[in-house]
Amino acid sequence: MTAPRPTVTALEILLVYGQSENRSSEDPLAATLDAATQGQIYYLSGLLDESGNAVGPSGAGWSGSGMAAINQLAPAKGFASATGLGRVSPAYTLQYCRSATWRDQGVPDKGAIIVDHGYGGRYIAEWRPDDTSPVGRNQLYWMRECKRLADEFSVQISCPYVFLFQGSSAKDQASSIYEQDFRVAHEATLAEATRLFGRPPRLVTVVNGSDVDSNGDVYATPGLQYRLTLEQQGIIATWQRIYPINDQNAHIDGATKILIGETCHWAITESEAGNPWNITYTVSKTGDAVTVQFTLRPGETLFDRSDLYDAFGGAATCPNYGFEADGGILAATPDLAGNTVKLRLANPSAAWLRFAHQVQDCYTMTDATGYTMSAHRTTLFGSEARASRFVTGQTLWRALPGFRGRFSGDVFMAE
Amino acid sequence: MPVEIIGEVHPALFSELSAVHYRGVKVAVLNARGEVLVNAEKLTPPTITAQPTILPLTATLGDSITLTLGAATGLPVPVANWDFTLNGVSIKSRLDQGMMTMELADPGEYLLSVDWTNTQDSVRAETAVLTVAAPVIPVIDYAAVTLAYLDAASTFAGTQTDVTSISPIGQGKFVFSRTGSGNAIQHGETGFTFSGGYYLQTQVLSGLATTDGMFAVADLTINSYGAYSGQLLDGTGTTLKLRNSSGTLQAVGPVSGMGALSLGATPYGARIIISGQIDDVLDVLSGHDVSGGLVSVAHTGLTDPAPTRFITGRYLNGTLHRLAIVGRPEGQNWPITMPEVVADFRRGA
Repeated sequence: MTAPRPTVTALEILLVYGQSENRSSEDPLAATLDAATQGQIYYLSGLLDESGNAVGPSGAGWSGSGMAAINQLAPAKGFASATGLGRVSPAYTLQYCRSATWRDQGVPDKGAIIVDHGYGGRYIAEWRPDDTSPVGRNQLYWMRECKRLADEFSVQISCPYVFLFQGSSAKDQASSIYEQDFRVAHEATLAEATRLFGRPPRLVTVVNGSDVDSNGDVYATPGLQYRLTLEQQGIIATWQRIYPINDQNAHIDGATKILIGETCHWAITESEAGNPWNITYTVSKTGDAVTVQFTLRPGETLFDRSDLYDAFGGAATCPNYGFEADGGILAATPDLAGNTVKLRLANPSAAWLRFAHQVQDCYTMTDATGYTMSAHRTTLFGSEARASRFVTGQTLWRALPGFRGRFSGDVFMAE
Repeated sequence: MPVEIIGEVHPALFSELSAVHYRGVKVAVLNARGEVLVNAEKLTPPTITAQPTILPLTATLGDSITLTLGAATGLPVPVANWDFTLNGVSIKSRLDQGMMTMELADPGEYLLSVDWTNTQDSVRAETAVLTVAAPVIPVIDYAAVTLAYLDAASTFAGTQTDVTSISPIGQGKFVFSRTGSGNAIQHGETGFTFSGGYYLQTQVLSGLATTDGMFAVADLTINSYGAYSGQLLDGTGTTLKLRNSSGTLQAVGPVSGMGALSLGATPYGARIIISGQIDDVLDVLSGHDVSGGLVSVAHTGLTDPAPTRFITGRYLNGTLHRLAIVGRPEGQNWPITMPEVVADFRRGA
């Protein structure tokens, strides 16, 4: 076995909490990503699971009866080129985009190490080092081996971000359980990363979305991930609910994985440049009048993608721009030259308000290709958008935060 | 078994009765004369209204799939009995906890079979099938696409401590035989080690399919500088050479006066992958330097490369881990490109 060395002089790793949404898929667009990052993308080679199987960029995966554990007595042997891997994922794309940007900036000798230790159906608890699942321990060991080998090869290595794109498995989980598990997992991850790299990685989140039928599900994760990311001073890169679904459930195709990864890269780039990115909201109420204000970027306004759901059930699935209130809404008026939406409630004493958080079944609302969209819907977006670099004809959008909460008098309390 | 009411009941008791259900099924009520007071609902066998699916239809390894059982009507309401198999073995237990989803970890034939059953009948739905292909791992068939390819597993003559010849695979049918004098060539787990003494050369060659170009990719560790310029790949005829010249790695083309292409300073003790190529179509000398970058320079006047002998390991203190030599026949494409071989070398073997 060759001990491959990277040909770059600096490498970046990305820690990932991910499940099916972030898993890699075969996609011909992978060649486009390769072409933009020639010789810059690697994976850690030489790792073995406890059955002796090689562990590559998709992690240890499934062992036949459960998640496979990486054999921590088997050291990594090198950084193998990921050229020709042929697979795309949101996290991979984020790293390819960063590497392509370094190349554009005249720094082609900096690259990335890709990996995803997650798997379909994983719970966030599995990233806890004390969990019975090895997923979190796999990631920590992988991180240590990346650092050890990079030092051995005299290659600079850094770990500036940790990526959260996970939560479908928790759609019926209580918010408190997800929060507790996330905190334990994340604190352990931050601690090890800080020990190895000198500073904690910053959280970058794709807020988990509802599947096509939200009836009977808890869906506490969107609001919780929004809150946790802000609390961690992280980056809310985008929201899963705005992307098309290819299996009438919740999953996304290869091109969409690239769009999500590109949007995350856009968010990070803006944040690193000192520009605001996160869109937050406030709700104020006086009697039947409610004003929802979104914090947009300087010069940005609300934008109505009014045809977004035309092929996916139409306007009936998203009345009042996605706002719903106890007793109904008489009028919803967005200021498309500004950043507010004014609502007139049918019931001035409404107990609750929610946005892009509908409870509805959109399972059969497919377009001609069989795709559908999340049950959580709004046509309102931030107005800033940009063309995708890697998916021809597609656009990257800035999603508004969905939310739900209760009124206590005129005071809104978000979940 | 019918329920029988013994005794007298006033007919008014049934006057407003529209339905009677027994165990979820609407049953008939008759009076003592057998006259129907309330109609029964007709029991019907299952009728499938939606077939089971495994989506997305295009799922491949690593994708998550979603199963739906479909739907059926009938009276009593049909119940689905189903199984999900991979190559005939049930894998229902591998579905995500509490979900009808699963990540595809294995190739094979996935079948979702559903039987809809009620008291009247059992009807099988159309089995949903998803065939997942095994991953295609890009593998270079070095025996087919190179003139010569050698690595630590290559056939050799002599002993581990004194290699007398190596017979690489490849279309050229080369035999690299020991020549010179001094320290022996040794074979180890990672390749063939030269110590500034014996080196290797092929038989005299002719008619090689190289007249539109050739390239070589070398994976090696150079421990120290030898007595003269290290001949990583050298030879006679119109050919490409890879050298360690006074601590600089070079690709050298055959046209006199066109100079050498630098592949960077020799990192002694480190394992490196370098390459060189002469392209008779473009008149270009190119190669991958020690940092992996592709470098090139014009090589005007190049005419029909035609090596007549290859040499490797002369004046070399180090280990040759892998070496590939590829030719481009006249008027044809490269059988494989230099970047593809370099990428494969980087992936390891």
